[in-house]
Amino acid sequence: MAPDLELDDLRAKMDEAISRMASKEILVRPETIKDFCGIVKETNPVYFDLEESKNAGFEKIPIPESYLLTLITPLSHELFTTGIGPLLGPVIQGIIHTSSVIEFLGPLYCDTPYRLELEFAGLVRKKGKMGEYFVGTFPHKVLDARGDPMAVDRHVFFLRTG
Amino acid sequence: MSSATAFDEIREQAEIPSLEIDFSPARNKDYCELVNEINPLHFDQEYARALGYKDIVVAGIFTASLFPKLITDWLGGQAVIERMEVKFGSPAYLNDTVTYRGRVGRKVTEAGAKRLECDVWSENAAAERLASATILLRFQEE
Repeated sequence: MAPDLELDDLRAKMDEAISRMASKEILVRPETIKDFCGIVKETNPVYFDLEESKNAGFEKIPIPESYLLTLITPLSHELFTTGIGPLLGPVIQGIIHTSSVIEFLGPLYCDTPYRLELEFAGLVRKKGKMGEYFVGTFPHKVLDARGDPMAVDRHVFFLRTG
Repeated sequence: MSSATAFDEIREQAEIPSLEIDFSPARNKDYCELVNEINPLHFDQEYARALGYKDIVVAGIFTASLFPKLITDWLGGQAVIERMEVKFGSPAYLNDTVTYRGRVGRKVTEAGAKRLECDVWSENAAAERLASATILLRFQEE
């Protein structure tokens, strides 16, 4: 990509690249949540003891809300490797996650299949103290087996060009 | 966890009990392995310094994970988080001890649903604010 590539061209290429990305099936194992709980010092047994989960009214071990940003990480990784990474590689010097707006639409459970889908919601070019950069918005969706959204995270990335 | 903190007892502007976590090299390594981290900013000190950071930057998704925990530690299963809007300011670096704090914003009762809006933030040992978030939660039906 040339540094002076028109913004509209870049948007179109990003849109096309993201539309080519396959959605991802995910299944979170209880062991993964147990590991995550250890890392974030989560001690509530509903997240790692099935009996406690059921006593609390859950059908399976629930995935803690604190895990949601981690859950959608494979999408972000793919976005910047095989997704739009090749388009941006020549000019983007750094990628920073600057904000997220997350909607939790229903409980998520371990051992339950979900699908992750990525969308492209916009790209703007800005100038600041550190030069020119792009700001891209990428909704990450978690869908259940029926295709209903269970969570949406509108990830905003700052793409530094120099 | 103070499971007795019921909606009616919560006052607007009340402080939410804080929580603290050290982003030690071991904890950061465990998290990077859990998510198969690909961004060297989060595990390669040389790369981070070449970009102008003083050390390895702890991933925002990792540091922001503690915001929902701040709420669930406080309220347990009494409320569910409906929405979280998080903004990252200054980075958390490897070896930082970060404190998560919060304050109750608005209490809203509408059509029988009881909701709270909370302002939460994280700060390092120098009390520099790192990230902030607004969390909307709904109390479960009794």
